Amino acid sequence: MDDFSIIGKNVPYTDAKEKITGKAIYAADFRLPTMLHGKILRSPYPSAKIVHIDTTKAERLPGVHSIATAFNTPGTKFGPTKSDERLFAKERVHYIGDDVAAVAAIDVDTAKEALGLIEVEYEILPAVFDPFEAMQPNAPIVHEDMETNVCHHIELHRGDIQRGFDEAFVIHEERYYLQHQYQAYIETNGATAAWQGDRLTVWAPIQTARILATVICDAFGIPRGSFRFLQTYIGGGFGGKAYQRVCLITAALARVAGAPVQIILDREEDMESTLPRVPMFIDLKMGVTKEGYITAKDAKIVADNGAYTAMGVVVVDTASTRVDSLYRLSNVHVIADLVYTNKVPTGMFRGFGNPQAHFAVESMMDTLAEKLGIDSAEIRLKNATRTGDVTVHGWKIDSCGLSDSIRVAAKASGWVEKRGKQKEKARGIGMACGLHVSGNRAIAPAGDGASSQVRIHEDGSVHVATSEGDIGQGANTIFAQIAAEVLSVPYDTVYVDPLDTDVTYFGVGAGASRVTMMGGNAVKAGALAARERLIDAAADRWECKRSDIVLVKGILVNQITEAEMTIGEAATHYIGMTGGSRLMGEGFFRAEGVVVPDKTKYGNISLAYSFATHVAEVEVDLETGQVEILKMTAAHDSGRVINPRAFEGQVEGGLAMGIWYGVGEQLVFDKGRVLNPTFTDYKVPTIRDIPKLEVHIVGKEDPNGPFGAKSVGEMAMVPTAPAIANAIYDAIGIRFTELPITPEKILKAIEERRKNGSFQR
Amino acid sequence: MTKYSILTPTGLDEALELLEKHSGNIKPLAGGTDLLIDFRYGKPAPEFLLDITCIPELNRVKVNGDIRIGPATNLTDVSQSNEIKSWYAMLAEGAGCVGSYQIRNLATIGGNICNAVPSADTAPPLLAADASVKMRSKAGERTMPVAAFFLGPRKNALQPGELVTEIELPTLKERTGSIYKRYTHRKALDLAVVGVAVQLTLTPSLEIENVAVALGAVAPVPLRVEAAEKLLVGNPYSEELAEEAAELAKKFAKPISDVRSSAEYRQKIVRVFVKRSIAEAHQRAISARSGE
Ligand SMILES: Cc1cc2nc3c(=O)[nH]c(=O)nc-3n(C[C@H](O)[C@H](O)[C@H](O)COP(=O)(O)OP(=O)(O)OC[C@H]3O[C@@H](n4cnc5c(N)ncnc54)[C@H](O)[C@@H]3O)c2cc1C
Repeated sequence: MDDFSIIGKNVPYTDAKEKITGKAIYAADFRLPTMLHGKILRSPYPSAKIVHIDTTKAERLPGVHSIATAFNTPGTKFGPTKSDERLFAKERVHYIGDDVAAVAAIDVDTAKEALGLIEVEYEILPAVFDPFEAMQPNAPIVHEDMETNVCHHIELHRGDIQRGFDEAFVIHEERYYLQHQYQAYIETNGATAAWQGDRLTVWAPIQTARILATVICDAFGIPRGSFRFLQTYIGGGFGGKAYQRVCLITAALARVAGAPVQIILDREEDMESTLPRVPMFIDLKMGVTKEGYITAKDAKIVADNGAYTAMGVVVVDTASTRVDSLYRLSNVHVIADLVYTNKVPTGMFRGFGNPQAHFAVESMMDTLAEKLGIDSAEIRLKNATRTGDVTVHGWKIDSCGLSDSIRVAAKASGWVEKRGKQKEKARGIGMACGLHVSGNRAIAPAGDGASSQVRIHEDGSVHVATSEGDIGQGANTIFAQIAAEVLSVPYDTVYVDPLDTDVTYFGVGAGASRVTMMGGNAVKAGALAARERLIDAAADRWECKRSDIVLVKGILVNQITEAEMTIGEAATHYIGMTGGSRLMGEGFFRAEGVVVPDKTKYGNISLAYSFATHVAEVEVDLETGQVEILKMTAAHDSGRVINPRAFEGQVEGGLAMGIWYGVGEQLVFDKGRVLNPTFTDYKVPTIRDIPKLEVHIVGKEDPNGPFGAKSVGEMAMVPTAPAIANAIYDAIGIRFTELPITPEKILKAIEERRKNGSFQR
Repeated sequence: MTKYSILTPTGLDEALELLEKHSGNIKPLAGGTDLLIDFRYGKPAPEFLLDITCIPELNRVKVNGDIRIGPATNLTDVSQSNEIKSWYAMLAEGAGCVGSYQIRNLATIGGNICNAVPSADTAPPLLAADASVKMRSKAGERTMPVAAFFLGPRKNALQPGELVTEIELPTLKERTGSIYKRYTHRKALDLAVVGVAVQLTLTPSLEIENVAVALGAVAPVPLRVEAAEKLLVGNPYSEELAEEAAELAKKFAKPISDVRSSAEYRQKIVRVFVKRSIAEAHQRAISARSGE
């Protein structure tokens, strides 16, 4: 039995009280003296030439301070992975929502009013909305300075795909479609920016400070040392706040205004212009032997980039490869294209391309199992990746609880008793598995790692600083638990700083489910270093050997003399001893053995991989097509769980998001326009729509994670939607290959089959 | 910014006075859950809003054989009134499914019908109940059946200077059961894709003596399906009969396609929901008879 005092315990979130009592300062609560409010004028056309912009009328409106356009701001191109963005459109707009101008005024209403007074003359140009059409040779080109709409193309071969199919007993092919899903965080995007000379400070709810810092310095041509980012409390991010242009637009407007500016997006704007999930068409072909072993997997992916790329390239790379390490594969082929269209740019969203690919593969696993007459759990167990495997893309699996998760989820849900046996009630049970990374070197090719500063004050209280950032997932709580455990001090004496890039060292931020693994290890290293400094101080004070000293429950004890000293006393002594240095441990963490994947995407991209199995139970109303989700059972291997309640929160939130990715959510477009940019018509689930959720922990210690922990945040929604599709199949025998699986689609499918006699009920 | 002054009359006469005085420049304000949102979306606001929730006689449920509901009664109170629950379950259900707790605590029944959107959830129950709407202005009072009150999406029969002052529900016979069912994409905080209200009274020998079938969200105004009602009256309930009535309702509905649903799907839902509502209203009528 491991004997931890704080690791593995349900301590409350460090920020729970502030948030619950409404004291937490979110982006829109933030105020600076003399601050102006900004609003953005956006393109009403999916593709058009800007003939003329006239801002004179708007400038004359009382209360308007300044107006930023392409004509008074830098025109440098920039972007997180492709330099295809500009601050403001100058000659062309590329989608409905493209930034054309921004107004700074004394209040939001005045700024809004001024938008209506800006006169823009457009010349409408042909647009393209469908990625397949956009790939045609004669299609309108989205970006006038590019030759093709294909933004990114990859093709990968492993093993011998032809031989794989030759060896197969059953081969199945299918096209799957995954829709635009919106992150639906409670807090819309926004930022506050202020310049002092050439030095820029931005306060915003951004998850990954590093991406923002790089892009913003490129856009304004300022040195990295001139940019400071302070993270405000984040009201939900889910990947959508990894990178947001509103920070750059706010900074541009603040520079023109010569005063601090805040811009907070309206919900409609946020839904029309931020970065929803990358939609994908996935043509998948898989072969299996008679016994059910996978022999080959061939995928062709066409992904809808929208008008700008953001991180779409890496999302597509993820969708092309990650799922291949779920099972023991040796013959794999994939071709993927990321294609520009005149629609909202798409980007990072919980799972990062992985839920899309999992939907295809996990749906097909059930189809193959049925064709072979093998149970769905059985076929997964047969193929499951195991501890010690090096997978087809060179990933090193040092810990893997996949098989356990299948068994636990099956047992807990009554799989054997229910599977295939409730058709007369139109009830079904379905399963899907998944894996995810704990950090991804591909998102930080220039250099990955994490750092911490662990400072101990004279009164014994502890300060932890990292560059990772808490986006509501509880990162600071995990960091505080780790520091408290190492220093053997009470949890509530540890304070984790909000992220301030002027103070903290290197960090990549909350992306790729890396924070516990990378940041947690860095905090552990920092706390261990601080412990060494404490021992230095005590040894100096007692004039004894360092090895005589132990740290027990926050007290330093000289084992020879039995003298005692609190860590506060040691920290005080340390100041005198060093002539002014505060007692601080610096921690750095390098992911040993993790590499930047080579051109063929081969190489171990993460220190650890999490695994999970979700089981869905559903009942279909055969007259209306409505699906009642009766229960979800989730079994997760996330290594050792540092905070079980936080862990359950992540899994339950992921299930809710995954269920509605499966059955409800979708941005609907008409000629590039979002038809449902409000919560009236873009439905996210309410608490009543979420069934009983049962969460099981099956993980054991991972050798690389801090105290053995792996990731959970993204993993939590990866297998959810295919589990539901598989359950619906079990209930009514109809396979749905397009998300979301709406009642209308289900009823239509039932009626078609009733007509041709293949559906008897 | 939307700027207006809120006037708070203490009695109905003062309210009508103010309406006349500021004619063309004033609008009644009840819960504000429709009105204030309109302003946010850019609809011009009048100079004055007349807060009618502070007028006591507009804000209560009065029972004296019939049921009279003040238009400023909020939907929580409507859905929890014992008389409404026992006599007009469908209205309690219609009021009780609007929005969320927070919305129902503000939103009023008068606001719901005056706003007159096709998906208003109290409209089909009121229509099925043969409710009438009492209106008053400085010039006088008039009453009309609720069916005549709805003129089209966001259009009602009110004249300038008029307030809805009462919604009247007739006294019911025993052996009456009713139900409101709506189809929504999620279980709460959603707008009806289809709303169905059925009220059904049985004779002592359990034939259908009287029945009303009303639909919401499938046409510019809420509708009664008279053909279905005629088919049902005089017959004992049977599944086949309900099925036939439902088929008539489906044919009668003239829904549109929008981002919430296609017209065809709405029609199919009308059929299923009418059939199920008839069955359940019938069940309730039987239970009502046996005093359950
Ligand atoms: C989040 C949300 C969810 C909602 N969900 C639903 C739902 O599920 N179902 C549904 O039906 N509606 C729903 N609504 C709409 C709204 O809540 C209802 O229509 C509500 O009943 C309106 O009542 P109110 O008192 O707020 O009206 P107000 O907004 O105050 O007024 C609406 C209109 O009626 C006029 N008016 C009000 N009272 C009188 C009167 N006595 N005489 C003359 N004119 C009058 C006003 O001038 C105004 O034009 C929702 C609204 C929101 C914001």
